[in-house]
Amino acid sequence: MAVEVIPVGLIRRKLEGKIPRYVDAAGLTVREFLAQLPIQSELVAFVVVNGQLVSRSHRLSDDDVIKLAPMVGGG
Amino acid sequence: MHGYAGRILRVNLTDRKTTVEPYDREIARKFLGGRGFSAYVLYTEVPKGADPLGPDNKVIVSTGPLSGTLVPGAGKTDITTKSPATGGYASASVGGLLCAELKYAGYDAIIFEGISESPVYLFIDDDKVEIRDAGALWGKGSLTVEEELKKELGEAFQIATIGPAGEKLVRYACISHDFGRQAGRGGVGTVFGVKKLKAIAVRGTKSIPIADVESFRQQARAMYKDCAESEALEVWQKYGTAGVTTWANEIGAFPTRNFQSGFFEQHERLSGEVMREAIVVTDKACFACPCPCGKYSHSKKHGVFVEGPEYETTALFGGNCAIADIEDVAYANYLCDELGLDTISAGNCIAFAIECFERGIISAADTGGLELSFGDSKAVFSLIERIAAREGIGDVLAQGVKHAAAVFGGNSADFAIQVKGMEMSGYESRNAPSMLLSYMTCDVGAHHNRSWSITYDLQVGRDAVSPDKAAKVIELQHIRPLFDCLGACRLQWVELGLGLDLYASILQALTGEERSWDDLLKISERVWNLTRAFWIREVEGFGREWDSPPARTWKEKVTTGPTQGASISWEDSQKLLDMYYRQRAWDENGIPSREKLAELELTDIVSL
Repeated sequence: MAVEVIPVGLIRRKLEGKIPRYVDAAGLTVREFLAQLPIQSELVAFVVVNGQLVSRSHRLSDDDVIKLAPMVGGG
Repeated sequence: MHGYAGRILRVNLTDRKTTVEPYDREIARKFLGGRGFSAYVLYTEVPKGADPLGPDNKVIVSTGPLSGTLVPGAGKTDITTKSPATGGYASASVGGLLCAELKYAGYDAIIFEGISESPVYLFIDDDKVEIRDAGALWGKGSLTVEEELKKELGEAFQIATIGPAGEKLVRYACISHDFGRQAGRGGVGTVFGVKKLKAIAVRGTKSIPIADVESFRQQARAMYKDCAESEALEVWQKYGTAGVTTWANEIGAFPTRNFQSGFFEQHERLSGEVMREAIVVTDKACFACPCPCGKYSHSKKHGVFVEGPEYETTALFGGNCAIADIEDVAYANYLCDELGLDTISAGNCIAFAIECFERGIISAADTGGLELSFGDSKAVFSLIERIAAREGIGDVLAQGVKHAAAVFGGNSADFAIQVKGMEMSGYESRNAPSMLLSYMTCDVGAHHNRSWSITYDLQVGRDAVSPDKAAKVIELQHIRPLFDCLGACRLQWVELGLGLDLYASILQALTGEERSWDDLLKISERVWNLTRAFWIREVEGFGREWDSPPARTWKEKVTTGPTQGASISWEDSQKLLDMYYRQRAWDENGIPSREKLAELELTDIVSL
C-alpha cells in the first residue's frame, strides 16, 4: 500500500537516489517510517502528511502524500 | 545614491530639534546599511562609558538598501543602542512595514539623541517632521497606542511604539510594530522609554532610486517565482515558526522548566497543528514577503487577539514555564505585547523565579504572597504584569535574570540561564555544542538568531567538539546578520532555499555597484568585529569570561527526554571557544588582532 514521499531541501539531497517516490509504508507510524530511511531521522524537522503537520506518532495510510522537510534557520 | 533614500534624520530630544543630513557614501560602502550603519554610529557617536539610560546614549533606527524594494522579505528594520540590559551592544530586528515607509518618506535611518523633558512621539510625513506631545499616550499599551495613532493619523501611517514596560525602564522592554511584531531583545524599548520617546509614526510617498530598473524587476520576479515554487513554502506558510515545537522536543532542544530539560512531556498540546486548529485566524506577512509566516490568533478563552505565539514564546512560556495550554501561552504573549516586554527574556526570568521558589530560595514573602509553581498559568500572568509595573518581585525580575540571581542568592546563579546578561532564547543546547557556542559568542548575548546551528550538530555528531563546528558558527554569524545590514528577512534564503548569490546580484541592479556575495560577507565580518570592539571598549574587563555558557550547561545534566543525561563540560566549552577565537584571529581573551582590524579597514575608528 503506497505512500508518496516528497523529501525537501537537505532531506532530498541526503535521500537522492536512495528511496523510490512511492513506498510501502501504510500502517506504519511516522516514527517507524523514518527509522527505515537511510537518513538520520532527527534531521527531519517537519513531517507534513496531506498538507497537515503531524507528529511522529501519526499513522500513515494508503495514498498519503508525506513531505519531509529539514529545519535550517532556527528563527 | 541608488538603493538608498540618501538622507539620515537626526532627532535631538533634549533640544526638540530635528535635522536632515546626507548619507555618507563611504559609510554605505563599508557598512552597507541597517545593522551595519547602526553599529558604525553607535561606536563613533556614543561616547565611551555612556550610561545606557543617560542622555549620551543613542538609538538608531535603520533600514538597509533592500528595505522597501520588491526583494522577497525586504521588510526588516534594525534598532540599535547601548544595552541597558547588558551594558554592551544591542541590536534588534523588527519585521512588518516600518522600514519601507521610512524609506519612502526619504530617510534611510533615524538617530535619536538626548532625553525629552516630557513624553513625545516622532511624526514623519515625508519632509514634514515634528516632535509631538505624547502625554495622552503615555501609560497605554503598545497595541492600544498603535490603534489610536492609526485612527488619528490614518491607516497609511506605520507606527512603532513602546508599552508601559518601556516607560518603567524594564531592562528587556521591546519596541512593537504592526500589531504583533517586535524589536525584542536587549532593551531597545527601555532606551526609548528613558528618552520619553513613546512612538514613531511615519508615512512616505516617495520612491527608491534603482540603478537598473529592468534587471531589478526581472530578478525580483525570478526570486518570487523561486519562493512560490519552494517545496518548503507550504510548511512555513501554514505553521510559521510554531511548526518547530514538535521537532524541538523530538531532538531534546525544547527548554523545559527553566532549561532543566529539553523535552516537555505535554508538548503535543502546544504543537503547530494544535495551535492552527485551536486559535489561528489568519496568516500574516511582512512587507514584500510571499511567505506569511506570522499567525494571527484569537484566544476565545481569554478574549484576545494576538500575533503568535511564535516558537520562541511557546518555548519560553510553554515548555520553560510548563504551561501546557496553547491559549494560555497566547495570553502570556498578548500581555507581553501590550505591555511591551520581550517574551523571551520575560519567559526566561519567570521560569527562573519559579525554580527559585520550588527550591525554597525565595518564598511567598518575597513574591507578595504569590505561590509559584511550574504549570501555573495564573501566576505567570501575574508575574508578567508585576514585571511591567516593576512591583515587588516584578521589580527584581524586571532587571534581568542575572540581577535576579544576585538578589535571590543561594546557588541561583548556577541556573540563571543567560550569557553576557541576556536571557537565553528557546534552544536547550547541552545536546548541541555548536549551538551552545553560538549562544556563547552571539554579539548581543544569548540570542539564537545570529547563528542557529542545531541541524549542523545533528549532521556531524552531537558529541563532537571540533574546529568545523567553530567554523560553522562563524560562517553563520557572517551570513545571517548580513541580512540585517541589507534590510531583508533571511527566511526566504534559509528555509525556502533562495540562493545567496541572488541577493548580491539584485543588490547590484539596485545600487549599480558590483559586489559579490563574498564582498558582502566581508562587510558583515567588519560589523561583527566592530560590535566586538564596542563591548571591549564599554565593559571593563571584557574578555572570554563574558563568552561563558550558563553554569547549568556543565554543572547539571539534562533531566528528561531524548537527551537525558547530556551536558557539555566546562573544558569542552572552552575548547570550542579557543577554536572560535583562533579562527577569528582574536587572541585567547577574545580580543581582535590588529591585523584583523586592519584587514577589515577598522583601524581608523577602532583602537584596542
